[in-house]
Amino acid sequence: MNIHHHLDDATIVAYAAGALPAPIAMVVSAHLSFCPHCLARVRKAEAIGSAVMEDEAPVSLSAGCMNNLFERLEAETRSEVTAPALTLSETQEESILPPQVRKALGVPLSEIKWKRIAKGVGMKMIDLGAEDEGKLYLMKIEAGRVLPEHGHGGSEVTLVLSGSYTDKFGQFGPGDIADLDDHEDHQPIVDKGADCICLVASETPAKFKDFLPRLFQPVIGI
Amino acid sequence: MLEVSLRMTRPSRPETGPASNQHLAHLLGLVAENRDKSAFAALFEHFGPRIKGFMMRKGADSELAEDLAQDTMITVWRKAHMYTLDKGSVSTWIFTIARNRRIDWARRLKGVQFSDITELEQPSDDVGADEVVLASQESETVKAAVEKLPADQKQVISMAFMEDMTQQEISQNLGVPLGTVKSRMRLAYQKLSKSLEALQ
Repeated sequence: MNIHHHLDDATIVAYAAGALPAPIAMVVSAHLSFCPHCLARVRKAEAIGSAVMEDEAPVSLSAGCMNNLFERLEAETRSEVTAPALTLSETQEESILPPQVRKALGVPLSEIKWKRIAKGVGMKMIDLGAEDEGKLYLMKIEAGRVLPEHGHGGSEVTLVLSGSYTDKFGQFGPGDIADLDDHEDHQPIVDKGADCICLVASETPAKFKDFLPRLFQPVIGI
Repeated sequence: MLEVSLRMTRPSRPETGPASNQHLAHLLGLVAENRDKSAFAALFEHFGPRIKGFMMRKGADSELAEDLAQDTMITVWRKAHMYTLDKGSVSTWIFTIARNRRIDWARRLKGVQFSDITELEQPSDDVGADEVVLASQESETVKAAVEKLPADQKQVISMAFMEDMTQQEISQNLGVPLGTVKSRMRLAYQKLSKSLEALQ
């Protein structure tokens, strides 16, 4: 996979710290499934975490702690079983969804009931049980469609799963992630030839810039 | 039986010091290959207090923090065979397990488990050789580099990693714009990343 658009350094650090809202962490994790370059960057940031933990944290253990650990280990070794592997039927179409997304989605891509939110635009919310942290959803936009120009109130990340779109930041194809700074307006145009399916997470509701699209916002919910 | 396992001879420590990655990797190897309980005890002696403190920073009391530290180490026991150099140093790998355990505890009333998100992140492609961090020297280098960070960058790093505060929370807590928090994180990461690249 030829990836041109990567994660922001600040997102890499926050992800490694476990300090991203869950929906955004999910999209970052999905990008890492495609992108060895960003995964190596996450590993470096995790090394920072371990250095901070080594440095700042130590608190002496109570006298019985080691014994407790070994009692639990005894129980563990008596019933040592390997965790069941994730079993998901793998069709050609499914393979565009990373496993963690498939698991959260719960239904195969082909069985998704897309909610039509505008002409040529379908949406499927993914419930992570973390509504207060933000939203996670799939979007399917038909080839050639122009989305209204909009900015984002908080952090938003978009991972392209299939097809591609182009905006002022360049062309985004499968595996590319748009990790936009806040208040950066853009107007994505889906490239001709194929529908574009994206995984999107936002921290706070986006705001549409023009009057007419703003009317859609309560309906679209992004 | 328990007493016996704890009185077994500890593997000898190499001259490079008790916490060198080489030594920790040796211990983890013994756990993975021989299910060696004394090596496991030695790992817990090193990491137990650190993981406990890490849990307490997020608000766990002493008892719960020890419980979570034990959880973390049981996972280490279970997954020892899955540790490879591309996961970073042993310290880094165990940090990620403790981090996931801590977040799963903090999020226990919510739907998604953090480990469900992060543990499936492995890419299908192999990580390129030039991308692999030299695990053996990693910990010492990063530690030295973290110490050298300017106070404002060190502070956001610590708030993110130790308190797992989001960028927005850090911004509110320090009373600085979100953009400032992000740029401090970027600068800190770039410095630390450079010092790691210098090893390669």
